[in-house]
Amino acid sequence: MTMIQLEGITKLYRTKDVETVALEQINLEVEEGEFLSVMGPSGCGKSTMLNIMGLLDLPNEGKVRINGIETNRMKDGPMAEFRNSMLGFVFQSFHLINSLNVQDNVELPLLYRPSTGRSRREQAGEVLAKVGLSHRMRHFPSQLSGGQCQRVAIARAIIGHPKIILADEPTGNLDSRMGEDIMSLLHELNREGTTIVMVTHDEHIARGTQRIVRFFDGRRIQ
Amino acid sequence: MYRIYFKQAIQMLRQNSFISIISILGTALAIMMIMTIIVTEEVKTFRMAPEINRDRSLYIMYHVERDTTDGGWFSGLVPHDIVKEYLSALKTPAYTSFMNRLDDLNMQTTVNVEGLSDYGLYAARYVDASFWKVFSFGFIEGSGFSEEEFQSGIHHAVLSESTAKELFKGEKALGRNIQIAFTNYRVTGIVKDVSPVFKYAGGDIWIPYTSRKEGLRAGYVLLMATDKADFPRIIAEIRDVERKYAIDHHPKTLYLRGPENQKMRTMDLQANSEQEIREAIRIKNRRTVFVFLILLIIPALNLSGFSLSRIRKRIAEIGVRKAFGAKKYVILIQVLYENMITSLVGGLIGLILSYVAITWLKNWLLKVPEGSDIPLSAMLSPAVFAAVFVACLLLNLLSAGLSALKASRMTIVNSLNQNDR
Repeated sequence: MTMIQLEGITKLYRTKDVETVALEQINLEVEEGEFLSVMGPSGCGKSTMLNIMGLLDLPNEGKVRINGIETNRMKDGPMAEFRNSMLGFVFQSFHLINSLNVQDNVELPLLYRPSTGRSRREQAGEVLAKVGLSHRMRHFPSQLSGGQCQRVAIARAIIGHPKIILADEPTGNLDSRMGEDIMSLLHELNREGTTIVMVTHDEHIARGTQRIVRFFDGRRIQ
Repeated sequence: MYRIYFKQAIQMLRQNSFISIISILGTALAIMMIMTIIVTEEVKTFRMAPEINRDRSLYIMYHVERDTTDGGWFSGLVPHDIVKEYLSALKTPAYTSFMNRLDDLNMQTTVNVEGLSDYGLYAARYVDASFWKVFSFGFIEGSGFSEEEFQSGIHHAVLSESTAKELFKGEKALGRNIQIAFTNYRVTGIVKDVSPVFKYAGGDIWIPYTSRKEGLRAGYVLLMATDKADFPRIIAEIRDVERKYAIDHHPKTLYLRGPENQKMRTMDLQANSEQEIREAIRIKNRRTVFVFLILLIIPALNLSGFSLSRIRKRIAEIGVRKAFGAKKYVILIQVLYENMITSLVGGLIGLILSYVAITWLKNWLLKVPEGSDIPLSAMLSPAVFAAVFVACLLLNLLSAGLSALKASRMTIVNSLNQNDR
């Protein structure tokens, strides 16, 4: 089954005088349970594509279907709920909230759906155990290493049991050993059935995934 | 959810201690200003000895008499004739008291100890026997005078403690004779000093107005109800008096202003008819609202800068929250909720500061004498807390509303990339 389908996606950035084409007529399908890498030089539109795929940004043209549901005409509220239930995000710079401890950071997606404090704490405990950070629940992000921060970010991404994880250069800010730890976590999630789309610059890491698509200058070239 | 918001708000206060302190102090000072103004107004209606019955007293300060034939009119204090002929017969009030106006130093009277030519100027209050029922004086020695003594025009005088000390140089005053406006009186009571801030009870010397040759031509009327629930019936009786007067004195009509309760009295309205009073109240309320809004808007504008700066630091966080499913209104509520915590902390500190200021400066600020305490219950009343809460809420909405709205409306990508657009 096709989990993600991009059809004729075009994204333009307009300033007063200049119009930049970030994506031009992109078509892409990602199957359920697939682990896909997106590669390309900086500025080629891969992150823009990931943002559109994750319903974080809207295309100027084209359709985005997730799990068979067309998302283009969704209003803000239903789209937020859809993101909450279907998608998990891992960012290059982690994007943890510094004023929340690890446990509260991880609980974040559950705050936006009906849940009790107790069940949130239990689930946070489970996913933190999965990423090997049970002993850091009360720590703040500033007290963790880069690799630990990214593991927290992964725990946050998976706590809501999303069908899809979108990871934008998840190893970009980590050394190679930490990068490998993170990749093995992502592979484990993929083996459990989660569809993963990952933007990366690292050829070696990309080769470990099931499929690679390459972008250049806003177009898909492979 | 709100538990986490609360934890985060507290953590952010700690992490941004400088901005937090400035924000909290800004809020605290704004609340202190507002509270001081509210209490300054409210203190005028608090029950304080000797005016302990303020809550069940009505006042008639002025009358207006019109001639319906030529349109001529006369206004002024309430004439004694009206009190004697009409007001003393009122059925609903527990007591009706008539006293002279004693608002400024020009109303002082020469007083000396009999046989001594050492004259002093003192504020002499001309009162009736009900006066001692309506007010609660702290008698050090002796007492006031009875209805029978009042009716007989007895020359008895009650002195304040400091007046007695001044006149008799610290010697025993009770039972001694003094001259008030060159008329002999016997001192029959000494009371604790009463500040001039007590508009109706205050004075240095109290004597029966029947003891004066000229009596008391015009003055203030105080109507004390058994219960303040009787106010409407008392007011209805006053309106009956006006109708009766119009029949008895045709073609003249009478208007007795009010009767006003303590709160209205403190508004010090200049008006000669019910319609003018209503208009004066409307103007007064408009002014009050305007002053409060200014007092809220100025600090709110300053605090909004801090709010915006805090929001700017959290743009990426807002993006993350929205990415994981937070709706716009949830972000709006969160920002306002967090800001409300700062406002409430500031409000609480402001409330404490206002208590300190009011207690410390009560004599200078409110003219409440040193010996008198502002009742704690008045300062800690639900109304005061409600006022503080509403002020905090408004301050919160004014200072953080715009930044919260802006934050909630940003696109997720712009937020994540920290583009403040």
